[in-house]
Amino acid sequence: MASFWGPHTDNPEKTLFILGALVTGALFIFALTFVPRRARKPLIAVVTFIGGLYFSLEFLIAPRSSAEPFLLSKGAFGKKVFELLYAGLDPDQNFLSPYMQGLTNAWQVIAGFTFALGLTNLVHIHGKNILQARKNWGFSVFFFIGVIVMAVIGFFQRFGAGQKSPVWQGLWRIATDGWLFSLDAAMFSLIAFFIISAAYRAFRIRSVEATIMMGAAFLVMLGQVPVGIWLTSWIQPEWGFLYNLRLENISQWILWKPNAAAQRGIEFGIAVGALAMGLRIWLSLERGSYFEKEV
Amino acid sequence: MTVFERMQRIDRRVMYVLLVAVIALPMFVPFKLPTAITPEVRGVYDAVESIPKGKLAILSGDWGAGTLAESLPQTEALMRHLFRNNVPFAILPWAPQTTTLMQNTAERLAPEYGKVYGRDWVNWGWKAVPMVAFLKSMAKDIPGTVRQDYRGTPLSELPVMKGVKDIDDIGFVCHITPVGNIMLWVAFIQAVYGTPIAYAPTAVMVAQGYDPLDAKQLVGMLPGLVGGAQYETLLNDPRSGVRWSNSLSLAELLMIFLIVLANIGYFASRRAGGSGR
Repeated sequence: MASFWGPHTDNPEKTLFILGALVTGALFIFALTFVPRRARKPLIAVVTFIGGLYFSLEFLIAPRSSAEPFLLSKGAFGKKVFELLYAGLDPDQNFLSPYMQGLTNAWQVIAGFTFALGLTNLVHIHGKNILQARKNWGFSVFFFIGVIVMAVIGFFQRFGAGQKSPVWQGLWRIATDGWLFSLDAAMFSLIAFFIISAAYRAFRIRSVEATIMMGAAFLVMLGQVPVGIWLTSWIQPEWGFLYNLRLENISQWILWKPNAAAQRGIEFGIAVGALAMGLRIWLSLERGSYFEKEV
Repeated sequence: MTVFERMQRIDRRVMYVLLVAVIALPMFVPFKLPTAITPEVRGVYDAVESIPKGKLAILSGDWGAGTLAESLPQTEALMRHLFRNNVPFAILPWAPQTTTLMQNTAERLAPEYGKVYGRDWVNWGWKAVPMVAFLKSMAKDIPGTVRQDYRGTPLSELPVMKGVKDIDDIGFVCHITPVGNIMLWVAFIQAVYGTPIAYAPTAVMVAQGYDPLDAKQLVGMLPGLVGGAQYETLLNDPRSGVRWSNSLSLAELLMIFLIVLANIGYFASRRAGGSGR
């Protein structure tokens, strides 16, 4: 049975490691607060650059299976390089791959801190709403009720005796199936009402482009659903070319041909943009609201 | 107000009531409509059928209750197929909600096929780690990356994970999602290791899937709720996907009817000298 410390309660050494990591991490963060303001941006830039460099090189450098025949064919020097960089590695690994695991774990820890940061911000904002009795402060009360109730039930059903307790498991079912999922599904389903109202009010054939778009939309929509298939199901496969006029076949052609081509163009553009954006962030060249504020 | 102007100004509350009625109708008055099996859905079915013995399948998902009407029939149909074919699988959730929703689905279906958690399927649980880092790491070392299941049990203690080391031990992946992140699976897994990847998006994301499908980077796709319904038809086991797609059919018909009505009103009132809206 998993405890708060995970599956290693019977291993005191592991628990000590966890405690040690926790204390070291806290001390490290505390030490970071003493970094002078002028040095904070360069520090972030250096860490970002090293992180980006590692992941790029790990992806690009040849794995052992490709590098081995090449290096071994280059005589004694090649053999030396191979032994230095690739000896003992799996065929699909290069000399950077063994560190991937540790970095991914570190990433999880950092992600954990971001959740804590998000929660702190929410508590700060909603706490202020209540204390200052701002407009709609009642919603903020519900925020606290939601967070506390879900956290308490989630914690006790997950750890220790709660895992086998029908009370905690039942409460968890009510909190998730009964409240969270129902509220989420209900909120998302409202989109259907917005869509039907917006499509009715806004979709007017005012130009050739709008006409083409509406025609394509109707054909694809109908060709995807059973009722559309039923509408032209009287067209038989043995009718030759006419069989192409079934709604599902027209819909498939639009999706597989013009749509795929357009998507490819869009994605190509996005990929080039993402590459440029990635380079700017990696080299800390990006400017704007999130990058120029004092840290 | 003329008739043509009225056609453009139907009260939205009337539309809402009509929408509720057409969505609810097939649930109270069931009827059967034909289903065409599209090549993309057939592709997923064939890929599951050809998973080599001894390999694990991954059902990756980041859907929540908000898209349950589309993602649940897809998930359920895939799980039924895997259970039926005795293919062990791992649930790989990318959000906390997905962990519970997919686990509940598997737990509900497993008794029908005599399947047991840990032996026939496993839930790797949600990890707070970016998808790219996880995929790159998982491809080379699954036990080292995943470490424990959603309950904290080490993977080494679960029989279903016996012999599963890296991506070479994975025979099929289906990413069930309302989000446009399928290209990460394509870029970091399919393109590098050749693992068969299928895509089960919600209907709004379907258009994005045809590019990688056309390039053979995906083995197939379940387009939204209708994809789930087609898959159920292929399994010869029509369930919620087929039932709910009838509601979808009527809702789409209603929307088309309203748009056509408004446009008739628009053109007629313009011809009559009005401005239209």
